Amino acid sequence: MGGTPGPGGDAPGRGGRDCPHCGASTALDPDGYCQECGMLAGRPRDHTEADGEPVAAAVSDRGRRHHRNEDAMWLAVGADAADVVVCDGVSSSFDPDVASEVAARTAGELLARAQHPVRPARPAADEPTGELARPQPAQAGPQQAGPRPGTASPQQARPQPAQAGPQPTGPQPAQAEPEPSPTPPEPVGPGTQRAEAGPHPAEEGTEAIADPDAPTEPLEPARSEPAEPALPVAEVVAMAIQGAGAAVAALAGTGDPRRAVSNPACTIVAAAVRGPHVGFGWVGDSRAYWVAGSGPAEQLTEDDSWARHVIALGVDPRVAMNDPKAHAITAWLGADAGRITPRIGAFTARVPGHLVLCSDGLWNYLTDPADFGDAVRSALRIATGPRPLLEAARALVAYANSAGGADNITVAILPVPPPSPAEAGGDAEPSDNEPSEA
Amino acid sequence: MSYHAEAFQNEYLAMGASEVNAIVTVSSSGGDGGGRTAGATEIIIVDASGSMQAEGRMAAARQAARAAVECIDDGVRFAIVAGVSTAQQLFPDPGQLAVASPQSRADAVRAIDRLQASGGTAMGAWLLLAARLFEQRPGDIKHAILLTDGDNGERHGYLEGVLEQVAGRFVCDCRGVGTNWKVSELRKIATAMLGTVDIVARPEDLTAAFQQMITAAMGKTAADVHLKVWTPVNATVRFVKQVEPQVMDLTGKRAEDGPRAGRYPLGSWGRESRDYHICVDVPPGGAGDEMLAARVSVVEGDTVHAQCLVRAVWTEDTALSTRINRQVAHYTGQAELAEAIQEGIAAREAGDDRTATLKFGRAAQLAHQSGNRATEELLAKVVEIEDAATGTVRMRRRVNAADEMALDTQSTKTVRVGRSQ
Repeated sequence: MGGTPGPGGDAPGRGGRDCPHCGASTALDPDGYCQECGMLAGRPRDHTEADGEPVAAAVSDRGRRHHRNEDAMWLAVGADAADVVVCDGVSSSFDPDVASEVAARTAGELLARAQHPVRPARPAADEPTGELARPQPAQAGPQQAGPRPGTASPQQARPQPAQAGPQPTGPQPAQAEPEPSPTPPEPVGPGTQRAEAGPHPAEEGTEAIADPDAPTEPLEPARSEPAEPALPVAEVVAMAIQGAGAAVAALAGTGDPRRAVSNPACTIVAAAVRGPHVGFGWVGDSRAYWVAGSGPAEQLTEDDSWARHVIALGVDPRVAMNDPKAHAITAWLGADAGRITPRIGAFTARVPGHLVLCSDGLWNYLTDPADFGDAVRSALRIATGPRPLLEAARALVAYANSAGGADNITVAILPVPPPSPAEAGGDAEPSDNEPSEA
Repeated sequence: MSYHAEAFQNEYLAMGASEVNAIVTVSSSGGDGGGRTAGATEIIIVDASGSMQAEGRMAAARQAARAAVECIDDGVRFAIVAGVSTAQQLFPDPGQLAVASPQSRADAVRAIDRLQASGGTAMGAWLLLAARLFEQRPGDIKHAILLTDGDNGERHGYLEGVLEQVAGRFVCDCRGVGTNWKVSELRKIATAMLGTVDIVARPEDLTAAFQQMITAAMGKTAADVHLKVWTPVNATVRFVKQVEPQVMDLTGKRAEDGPRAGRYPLGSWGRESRDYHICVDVPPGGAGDEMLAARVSVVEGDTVHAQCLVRAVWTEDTALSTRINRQVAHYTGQAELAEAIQEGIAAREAGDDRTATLKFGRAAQLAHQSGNRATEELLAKVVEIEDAATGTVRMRRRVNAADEMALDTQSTKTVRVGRSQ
């Protein structure tokens, strides 16, 4: 099933009745074990796909060495907007797969319900030109100007008629989870209540998320030149991550008593895309990258990890990454994590590119930013079918598996800015998003 | 009757590992309103051989049997067998079963008063008679009490043959009075008949012992419960042992039941909980593979009451594969404790004090570590425990025979481990 672009989460082996291990025909128990050899044919989470074409796609996979997928993801796409979350369970904790699933779902639902201060820019209905919906900057994109995606001004990035346009359609979950959550958790952000009322001028929206507890320590690029109006998007992301942190922390008091001893824990990286504006945040070592039409990928996040810490202290990165402690994370979501202070970043894209979120199951095989950029572009280039983003995400997962698949792998790919409805209706060629390649 | 089965294990195995261990706890809430789902039949077998005349044992046995009869619930079928060189039915008429009522209980008491000691000990014949009486009541909860004070006088091998024939047809609790009987002989019967064995050193304690056994038997609400164990192809069940409330190896009682599955008899059940240790050898899997090593079901006839899974997951992460499951470790220790005591007693009887000291030392250590106080106290009557933590013991010069027999019969009694890991 993995090769068939189908809607919803795929679970190879589960649908079939033959055992993939011993080949016995019609031998699978209802609980997924082979009635002959006893091997587990597959779990629903072993391989899941989220198809949000043409706005985004994501794939999560068990990998080759782990017995289950402890990564989880959330993807919601709307008109010119997307929310995405990638979480990686901390394997030394108890029930890490539950932690990641709860974190991804909670953060995703909070993102979906929050009123984002930046509305997806959208031309008015009577302005049927797709040209206006997409920025066409000819100049070098932020990635070529060094690690300063935030330097692009909103005026340059997007046309302004959007302010007069109709209210955007909120993002809708797009098969991001194998089982859509029936009961969304209570919103924890103070801005959420107000967000449900009336029209939202950008100023009010900004105020609405002015949570005194919200961490507002964006990354260097965003701080040096505040990427208004993308920064408020990141603050919503921070709020969603805090909500996810609270939900994961609450798990320690539920279910198996061993959860209290070794509480469920996970990492998180989340992003909200509104037109060209991107806000992101993270805790742990799951990453976000910006991949432009050429050049090395830009790592937007900075791992909360032992390796990152000692590299900052001057240790040779290769030595640090080969240390057994390299992947030990220094921040996570969980009951023992204390107060969650997600780090956030924001930028407004001046040229089209791709936002890529992934767990360490992928980036561990692509530690060189140049390799990462090439791998993503190569995956996009060969994806020429009807679902190019999904195919590209699958190709990146396949790459990690062919390199060893030592960990669970989750990849989400989002073109920024997202294709407008005019383009979405037509053929969404990957080259649309890569003008410099065209 | 609602049952619950839960497996406790560390499912993570190191690469190449093939032995899967799990403790399965089976508990039952008992019948609806505590009522039996089946009828019940109770047979009391009292040794009436000549030796029972000594030390007022016959009078005590009569009193115990009377007390036992008084504990039988109305409506329960019952009979009393007098154990002499042949089996003689004391009550009711030969080949019959009485239905318990105030009248039948009074008749039984009068019959018991006529019981006189004479003749020999023929346990095989007694059990055969009981089995024939029980045959009239298929589907009943069947329980027998066997009281004796001496060795079996039947020809060598006869008792074993009878046990093979009647095993699984009823549950039999065995009690020895005095110290002239053999623990190993009664244990053989109790093990085959899924019952318990114990010493009643003083005749005056018999009444309480009988009352306790009958009360427990009257609390059973289901007759014939089995543990069904399915294992995958190329896997073998190394053992299935009851480990709580007492150690009992069920491995040899397996009866095949469908492809790659076997049934192990658990006897009758009431409102209670028991633990079983299941050990399966499986073909090793690759990294990340997960296998169902055993599907364990609690069954009664064709009805599956509860089920739990024993899994194996192979991992390269030694932090996972070296985790010790407390339940498995605890009951492995309790089984070793029973073995060490029985081997220690055997060595002492054979005059091998060196081996006996080593075995009792290990037993003292295990009993102490696991918090099995009752066994530790019994052990202290047979050896001087100098340091339980290191297992340093000294043989006592003079050991009361009853104390040693009590230690032997109690060796299989286990204590439960806390559930949190």
